Amino acid sequence: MNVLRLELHNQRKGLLIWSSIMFVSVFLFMAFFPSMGAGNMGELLTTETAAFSSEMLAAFGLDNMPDFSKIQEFFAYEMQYIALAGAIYAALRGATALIGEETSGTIEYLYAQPVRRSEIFFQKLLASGITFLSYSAAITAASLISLLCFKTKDTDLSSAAAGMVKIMIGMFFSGMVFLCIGFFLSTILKSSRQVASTANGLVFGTYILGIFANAFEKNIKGIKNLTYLSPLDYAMPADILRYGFQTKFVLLGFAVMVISIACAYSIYLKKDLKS
Amino acid sequence: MSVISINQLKKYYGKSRGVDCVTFDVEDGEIFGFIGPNGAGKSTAIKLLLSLLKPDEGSASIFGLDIIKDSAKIKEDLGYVPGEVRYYPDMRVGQLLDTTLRFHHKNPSDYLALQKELCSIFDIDVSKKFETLSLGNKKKVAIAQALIHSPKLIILDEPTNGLDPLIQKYLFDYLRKINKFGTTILFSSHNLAEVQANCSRAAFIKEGRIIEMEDLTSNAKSEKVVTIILQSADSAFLLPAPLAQASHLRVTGENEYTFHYKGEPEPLLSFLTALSPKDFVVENASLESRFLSYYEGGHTK
Repeated sequence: MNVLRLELHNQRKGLLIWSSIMFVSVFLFMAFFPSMGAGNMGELLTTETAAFSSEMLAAFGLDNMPDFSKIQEFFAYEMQYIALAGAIYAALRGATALIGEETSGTIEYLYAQPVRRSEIFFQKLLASGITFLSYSAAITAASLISLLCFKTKDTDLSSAAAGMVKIMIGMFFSGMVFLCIGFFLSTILKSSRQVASTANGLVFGTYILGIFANAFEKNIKGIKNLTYLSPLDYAMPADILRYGFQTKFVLLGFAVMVISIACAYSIYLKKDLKS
Repeated sequence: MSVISINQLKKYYGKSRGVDCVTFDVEDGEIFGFIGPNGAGKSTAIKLLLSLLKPDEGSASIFGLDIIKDSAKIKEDLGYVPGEVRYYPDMRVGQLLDTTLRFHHKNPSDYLALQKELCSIFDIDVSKKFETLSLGNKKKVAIAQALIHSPKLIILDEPTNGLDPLIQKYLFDYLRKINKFGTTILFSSHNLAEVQANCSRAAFIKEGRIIEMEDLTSNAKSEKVVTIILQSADSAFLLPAPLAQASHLRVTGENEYTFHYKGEPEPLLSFLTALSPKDFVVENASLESRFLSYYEGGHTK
């Protein structure tokens, strides 16, 4: 498992930076909860947003107005943006995994060692998965700590914590879908300079597709099917809290992961060292 | 017995040629030189051997194992020094050497003495981060990591590029030392003197093809380079047709010709006397003179 060890060593700085920033972001977001939960903020928000069109509300994830006096619903709303950031990190992680070392040239060192290409492939994939799992664990820790810090007297701690963990599992799942697609893209990109734009394009492109599908589902027949192309919609925090995981999205997510990895594997084994 | 056996290897990068039908063997315990100008295909051939590139056609084996199917097994006993050294920038030299040993299923603590010896010979500071090293120091680290696991075969792609003359000397002293214990060495180089001084054989590669194999043992040093200045251009047509052992005829100046001669001295002396040139020089053929004869002007072997 030398490649895994090397890869984790190489990813540790990025992981630390992303985890730290998102840890603080989750905490700061949750710091708003006491002011949202107390008084009539929730009612005020409902009244103020009543003038918005249903499409507009859907675009901001407010179509089924969350009850901001409940910490897990507030958390679910907040998490759709944290999940978006997590998806970008996952896509970046996946898309950098193979092309990064090819662009920097360090892959020549690995290829000269007694290790098969398939081992390099799977250990790099595993390292990316472990890195993203560590990132998700850090965000989960931030969520649970902020729950303890900002809970109200009425908060049912165990059910709120369970809801948060469920949302985090969903975020990890959709992130892994992006990571695997990114991993596939890593085999076809020409340089690591293309990684940032490709990963951002992938995440925002599919996210906007999902928003569009949700916003116009009542106006355009069949448009809702576009959510199948949006991995973030496979595990939207508010939906997970209300309805739990949907089998069709879970199966689709796993199918996308398996197909992405299979395509990446077949391309990677035939690849030449970049000269 | 051949340690490396290459048979009709061909590699094109799209339409541009890498190597074209390269065939040669490297014998067990040999120090083998690989010579050619920039872009001739030396690095491509080496990268094919290491399975860094996949060949379009042909096959090759190392230790009798297929370079594609058994690549990982081959690399257990192979050390490689790349032409351009690009290792992990934030890794310390000591960590890199340990990582290399772990890849070869060897315990770094068992190799501390060898690590100390190599670092002493090549003046390497193991505590330094790779990104802080100069070009020459990076090359030294690459050499140490190729040697650290005591491989049976070492392939070096232009190993002396960026090294000062003293370290170059230490490198070849060390390579000759381990060669005496049976290590086979293949290296590519532009430096013909180092190839001549250290190799038993050398392959010349030109435009992706092996054009000549040279035996560099003392037996082969009987080859002469004859430079001849004629009285007039009229007698040029005689050159060097009467001599069956002459080759590589080139025009090197006004009425000045150079050719290689390998054989008994009497026919050469008779030929020169009959030609009555204005002047002539006969000297032992160096690798450089052969290199020039292959790459400068037409190759008329």
